[in-house]
Amino acid sequence: MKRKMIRSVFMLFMLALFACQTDDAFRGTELEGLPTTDFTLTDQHGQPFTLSEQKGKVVLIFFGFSFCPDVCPLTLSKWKQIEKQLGEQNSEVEFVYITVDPERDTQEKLKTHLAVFSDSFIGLTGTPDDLKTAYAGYGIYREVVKVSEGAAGYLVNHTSRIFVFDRAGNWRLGISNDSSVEDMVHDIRLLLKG
Amino acid sequence: MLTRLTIIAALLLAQLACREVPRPISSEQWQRLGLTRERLRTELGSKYDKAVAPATKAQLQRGAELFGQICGPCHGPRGKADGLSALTLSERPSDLTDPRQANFFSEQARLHIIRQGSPGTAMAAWGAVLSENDIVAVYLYVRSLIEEE
Repeated sequence: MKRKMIRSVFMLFMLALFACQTDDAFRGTELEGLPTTDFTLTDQHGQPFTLSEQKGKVVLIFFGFSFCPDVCPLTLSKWKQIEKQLGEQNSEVEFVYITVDPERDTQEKLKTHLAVFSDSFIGLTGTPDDLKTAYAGYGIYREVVKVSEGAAGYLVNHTSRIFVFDRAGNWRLGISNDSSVEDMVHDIRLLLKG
Repeated sequence: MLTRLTIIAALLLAQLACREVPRPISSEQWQRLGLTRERLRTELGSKYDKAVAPATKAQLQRGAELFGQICGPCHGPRGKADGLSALTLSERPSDLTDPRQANFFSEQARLHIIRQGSPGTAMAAWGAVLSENDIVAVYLYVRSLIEEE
């Protein structure tokens, strides 16, 4: 009798647990009340990109650099998979990559680097002041780390979260680059619905 | 007893089946590697087949340090193309310990690939970051991984 009761309570608990995980909940971190910092940078084709002019689309932003050996190619690879999984919906999403290494990531470098992953990814660079606006607006950490001799012998430690903006241009989610492709697609689809 | 053995065997098989296995190199990728080899033969000329001197202990240590930091995330901690990034990149990084791939290029060609990267892939031109001494150190460490196999 006691065992039956324990089993029943356990099953009720598990049911309640699964019931709380609705498909309408974001899997990334939902943000409330954080201001969206607008910025204007230059894309890999030399065209201006202003965040506030992207309303109507869901925008993902990642801060990285072309010589990044780990989190950046990993994130870009995941984005490529996301783009594929979204299918036709990918025209309503923008994947934006802002360099934290403007000295080496010229427009041409961004163009060839991102083309390895997708022709539709947007790579942004800009003047030090314009980049500073974007970095400061999203609390981006950047630290140059010397790895080899010579002026260019460095890598850059940097914030590696993905910033997600809804169609109204509001900063809505923060997603870890560890998140699965499925979780990111899930959250993007929720934002596309809304 | 038989039931227990069956369960253990099934669990082992399931584990093997679920293990991530690096994707094999496609024929298109081999073709591209072939074109790269021809380009490097032309670029390097008579230097193409020049051997690289044996490594010193200091070079291997330095190479290991840089390899772990820069190469490992894609090529894997022991160069077996099983780095975290390797599993998601659409074109698989080279398994640096695979004799077919290791012997496909000359030593000077492999050094040159580290320097200038592999256009159209995620392999960066590390010559823009690493000094020539460091590039040689990384190469010598990679060579030692092949020699260990």
